[in-house]
Amino acid sequence: MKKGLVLIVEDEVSICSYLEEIFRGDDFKVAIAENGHAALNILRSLEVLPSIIFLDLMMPVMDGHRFLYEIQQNPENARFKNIPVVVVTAAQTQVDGHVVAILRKPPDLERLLELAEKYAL
Amino acid sequence: MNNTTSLIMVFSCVAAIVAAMVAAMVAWLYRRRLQIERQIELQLKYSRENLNFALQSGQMGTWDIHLVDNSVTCSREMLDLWGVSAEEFNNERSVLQSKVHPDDMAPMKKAINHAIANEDVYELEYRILPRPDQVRWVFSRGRCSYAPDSHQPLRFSGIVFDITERKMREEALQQAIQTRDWFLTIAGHELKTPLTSLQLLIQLKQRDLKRSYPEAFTAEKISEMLEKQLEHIQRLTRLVDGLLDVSQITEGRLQLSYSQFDICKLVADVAARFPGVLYADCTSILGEWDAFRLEQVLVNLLTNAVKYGNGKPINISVSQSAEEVQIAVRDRGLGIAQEDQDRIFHRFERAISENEVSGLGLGLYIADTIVQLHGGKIILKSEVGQGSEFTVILPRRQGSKS
Repeated sequence: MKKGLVLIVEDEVSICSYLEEIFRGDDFKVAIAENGHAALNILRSLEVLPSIIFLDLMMPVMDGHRFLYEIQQNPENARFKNIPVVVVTAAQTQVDGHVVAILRKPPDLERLLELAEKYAL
Repeated sequence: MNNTTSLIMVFSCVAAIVAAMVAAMVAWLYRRRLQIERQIELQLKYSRENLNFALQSGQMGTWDIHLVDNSVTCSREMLDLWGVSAEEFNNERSVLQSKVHPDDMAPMKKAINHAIANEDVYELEYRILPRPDQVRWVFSRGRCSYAPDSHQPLRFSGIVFDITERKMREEALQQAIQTRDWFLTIAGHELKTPLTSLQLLIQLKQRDLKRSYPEAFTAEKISEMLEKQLEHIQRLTRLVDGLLDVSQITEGRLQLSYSQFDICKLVADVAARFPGVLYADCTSILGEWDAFRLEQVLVNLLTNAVKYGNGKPINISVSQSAEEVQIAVRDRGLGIAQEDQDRIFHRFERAISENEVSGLGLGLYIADTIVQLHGGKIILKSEVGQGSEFTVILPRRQGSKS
């Protein structure tokens, strides 16, 4: 029995692939976007929305701050407003928006899975 | 009568003597007064000269506002600063005020009112616009004098001088601090990326071990994992090397160590490490350079070419003349706008915004420094959308020894 869908928004390929392996190994479904813009496109294409989003902040094209604004403040994207977001970032940064956690890189694997279990079971 | 006559004579004599003495005294006093006056005049003249000299040395102007009728007198230096002629000025305060930067008008009025009301010293840095397209920073200092009895403010006077250069330096310094802070953020982010990969990879394998997945620990899987770990460590090493090189350069400690070698072979070796880079073979060019540092130059240039090359073919070629060797790296990618072409050789700079491409923005700066230490230079030809060509020109004999 598969668990919920986890969306990973991260520009670094190797980090994406490890995160994917981590979540798949625990039976989550995984979608990957290399930046905020790609993530919005994925969200728009999905019928069943992800249960949780792991979001990097510093990314090309559309960074994490902008993506957070787009899904939480832009009325056009109201459908995505309530998806829980976990920020995974190199620098400890304040974010404008509602997030369930801010994890500093490198994030602890147990903590990642704990959050996924909580929201995407 | 004799007595009377002689008495008169004595008196006359005494009077004459006294008169003479008084006259001498008066004359002496008068002379003394003249002397003192002259001295005072001279002292005044000297102190005026000293003051003028000080004002001129400090390039200071003086101003004096007569608060009763709001007229102003000011020195020629001040009018020069303001870019106003004496005729234009005509002792009108409004003429001077019209040249003050609009944003600085309110703070200036506030500072003046405060100084007058509180018998305080007035000090302010503000901008003036001698011409509409010219901004000049000035510092002004002054104070108010009051009528002794009524305590009515009479005059508000002081000095003013040009501080544009200092302000420019301050701004440049601020800019440098901002750049450094931004660089620290980028560097932190860049260092965190391989660290994150390493930690996730290790924790992933720990989990597999705990769950005893035998298929995760075949020789092939372990070799693959070690390969990846090495990659991440090498990336970390490159980043740290870049940081160390830059601090060596800024401290002037980067030294070249010359040896004789074939530069064609070096170029071929480095080019072979970059898949997709086309190397036009050259036979053999022997010379004395720093092989380790030149390798770094080529790696940095090729890394940039790949990074900004849009996936299109990249060429590297070597040519020579009697005096110099030229190595050209050509890509067909994004290209660099004319206005950015100088900037990208500076520390922490890159052609496009920080979020777009990873790296510390040090590669070109380090490469350029190394080539310069060899007595050579890097020439950039680029056009937006057409790609870039970086040509390293190296003297065949070491031009400058560092």
